Amino acid sequence: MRQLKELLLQQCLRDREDKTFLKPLPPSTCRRIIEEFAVLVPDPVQKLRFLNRVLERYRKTLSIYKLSPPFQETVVRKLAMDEIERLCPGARKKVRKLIRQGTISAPRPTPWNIYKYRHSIITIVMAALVLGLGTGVASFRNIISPTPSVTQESGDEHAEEIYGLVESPDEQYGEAPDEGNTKVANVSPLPGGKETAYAPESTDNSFPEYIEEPIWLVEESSDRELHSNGLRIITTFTVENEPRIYYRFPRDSDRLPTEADLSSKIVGILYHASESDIIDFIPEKNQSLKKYSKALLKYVCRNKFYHYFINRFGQVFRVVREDHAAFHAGNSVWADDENIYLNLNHAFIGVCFEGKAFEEVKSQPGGPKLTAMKTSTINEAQLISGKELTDWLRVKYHICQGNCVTHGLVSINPEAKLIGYHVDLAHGFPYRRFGLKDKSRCLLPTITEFGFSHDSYFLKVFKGHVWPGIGYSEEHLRSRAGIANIPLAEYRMQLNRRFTRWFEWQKKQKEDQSKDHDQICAMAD
Amino acid sequence: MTRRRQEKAGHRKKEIAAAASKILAHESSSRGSAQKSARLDTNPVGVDIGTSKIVFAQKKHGNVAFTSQLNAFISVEYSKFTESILNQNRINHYRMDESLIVYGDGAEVFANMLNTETGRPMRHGLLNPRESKAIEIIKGILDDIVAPAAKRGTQLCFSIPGAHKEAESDIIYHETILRRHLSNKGYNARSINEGLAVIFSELEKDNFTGIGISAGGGMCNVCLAFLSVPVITFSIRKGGDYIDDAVASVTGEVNTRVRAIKERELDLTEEPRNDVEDALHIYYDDLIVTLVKGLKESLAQTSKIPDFDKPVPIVLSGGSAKPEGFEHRFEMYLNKEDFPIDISEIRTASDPLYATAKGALIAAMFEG
Repeated sequence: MRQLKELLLQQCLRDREDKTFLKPLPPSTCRRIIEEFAVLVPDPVQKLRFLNRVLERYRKTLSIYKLSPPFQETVVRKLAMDEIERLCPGARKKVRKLIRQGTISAPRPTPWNIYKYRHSIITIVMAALVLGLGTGVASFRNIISPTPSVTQESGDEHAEEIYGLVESPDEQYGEAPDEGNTKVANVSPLPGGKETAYAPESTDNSFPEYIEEPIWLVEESSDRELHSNGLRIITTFTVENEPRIYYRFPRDSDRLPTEADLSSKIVGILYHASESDIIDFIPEKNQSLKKYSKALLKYVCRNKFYHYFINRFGQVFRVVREDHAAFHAGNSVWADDENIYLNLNHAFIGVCFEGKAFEEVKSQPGGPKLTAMKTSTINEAQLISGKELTDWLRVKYHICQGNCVTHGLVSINPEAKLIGYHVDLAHGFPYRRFGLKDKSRCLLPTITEFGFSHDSYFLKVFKGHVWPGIGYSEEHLRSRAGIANIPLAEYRMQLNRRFTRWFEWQKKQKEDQSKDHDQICAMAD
Repeated sequence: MTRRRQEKAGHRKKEIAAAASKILAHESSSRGSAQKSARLDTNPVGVDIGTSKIVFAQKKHGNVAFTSQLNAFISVEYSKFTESILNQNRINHYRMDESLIVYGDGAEVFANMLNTETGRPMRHGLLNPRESKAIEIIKGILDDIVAPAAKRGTQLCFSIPGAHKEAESDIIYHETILRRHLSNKGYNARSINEGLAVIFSELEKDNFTGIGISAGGGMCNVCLAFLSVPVITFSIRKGGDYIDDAVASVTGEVNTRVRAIKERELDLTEEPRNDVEDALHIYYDDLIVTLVKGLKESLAQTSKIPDFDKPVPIVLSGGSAKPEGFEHRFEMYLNKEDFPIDISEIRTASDPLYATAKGALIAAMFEG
């Protein structure tokens, strides 16, 4: 008993180490602003959420923005405005009205405008600095060695040769390719450091992380919903599965998750293609198209595969209710700035498009059975519905654009430590049409965090033209191994071991949870 | 024991059991229905685990529903007849050797009939170290009042007392034992300081800024929060039980009767009518003075008090804050002290017995 008590004490003290009892509070003038806004939230739970999120986000805001009281006030005002809009869509208008009436104090114009355009200002300043530095370095090089250096260029060409920078996915959907994104990523100089997940597009601010404009439910009947952005959801096929509950793995640490990392929140969207047989999309085949689509939907519902299914006419069907997990992701990995998510069934929403981007081929023994098609069968109607659904989900669950990705990019073979176990939408997905950065050009957490690789079979499926993010990630991995002064193979092994430890731990937790749940259910019965 | 005495004892046992059966029939039926509905729910749950009562709160059909059980037990001699009566009436009990341990609301009924005292699995807000059956009993009461989570990971917040200089490690043990038990029932269980729970429950209009005081059976818990962030928490090891014990000791009355007078008749705004009331006035004053001084000292000792730009409210809750005039006396003693922060008002919670549970529920809903 005494030993047990001591063990519990130690465990508790460890748990408490991370908890700061008193979080830093903003100064009194800022608190007045928070309180002015808080009055607009009528529900106590929502008000608690509002206060906590504003204080938390204030704490996390870079110190540079909080140097002087006017800027502190501006930051708090912006955060309060964002949060109030998030909690009560449409509240921004009310706030403006109250500012005009004098109930809420008006912002100071200069700091407000500076803060509002801070990203643009920083980008300009950084660009100016880089330009200045670049000019300086070039002049210096010319002085030291008049012969032009080819090392960097040949390195880039080599990477492009191996990883075959494919044509821009958006080209397949009639959009201009993203120029200037074909360079290898600038990686973090410190091994293990947290780097941006958007290597080649790190300066691309054209896609906001969050959608701030409200999207709301306009009408709801027993079989469908209409939302303010035009999204129509057919709800008659909705089924239940198991409630969402999962562990978040800390990105900046090797520690295993604790109870505090347990979550049931939806953090991302995972896009799938059904990769089913496809009938020609022509009027003469209308009956067959309808019949086949319906059969597929029933199959998807029966197996609880996805949360949403978009058929070839662009109709959106809710399959598994949103607060439940669906069996859509299997073994998979994705990460945002703070957390790594293993097996995304519980953390992500699965959206499936009826269509395919790979076709079966007759091949030599050992050759690939599938190969990437030049163009996907996903049509315009599906893309429009997909965009509406994405926007609505992102607003509803405050999902950042970085966590909207396709199944092919996250799927893994955990035993062989290989990426691309499933490849649906791994190429040719029109991210930009969805208001998202192109994830096929981003660093892959499977490679950068866990040292996964790909095999020759995978290359054959893509006819050697795998998506560029793989190349960037490999380059990043090599760079980090170099900085750590460890051979790449050994560094990769270390990351592999990290994955195995986490993966096995999660597997065990899942088994334990199932056992406990069965026992509790038996007790309840 | 002679045959005559054995018969008499047997007859007395039957009388007690029959009387208990009548009294508890109504209670158990109403309690049963409350639990049945709780079993079907997957809404977040708030639990106030107090020294004298355990209160369960859950939102149903837009309103907060409360269920409570006395956090007490009594040991009675085992007999098949008594056991069958207890079973028939669904009175919480279990057998230990030659005794039946009756716990929850039923314990007080038996204690009154036997003119004896109930045992307490908790003392000074924490698991009672002097009571070997404490953990088992408290688990039993929790099992009775908190159904297993219908949906795994349902949020549950339970109250814990504030840190006390002498018993900081005991709080960790207490919290862990309870959290583990509730987690095993399928909940995502988190603890919340009692004082903070009172703030969540009562100071929503003040943006969760102010001082929450929960004056319970075992201790008084205090929390000063700013915009829902706790700044100071502390507790004093005086509460309703301290008053009951002290008054019983100086007047020669049994605790049960003192408690009955305190809960039903005491009015601190009026002059005491007898010795018991006089003693109650004296010890209530002692409790309030200790509380006010403790609050002042804690505020004076800490360097982390934020800059309050306007006065803050104090809200009083808990069973010990229920008597008429408690608020007035608290204000009187507070005004005598040179308090380091300005107080806008002192008020009693809308429902002092349920404020902590309601606050814990709000915290659970916030987490969920």
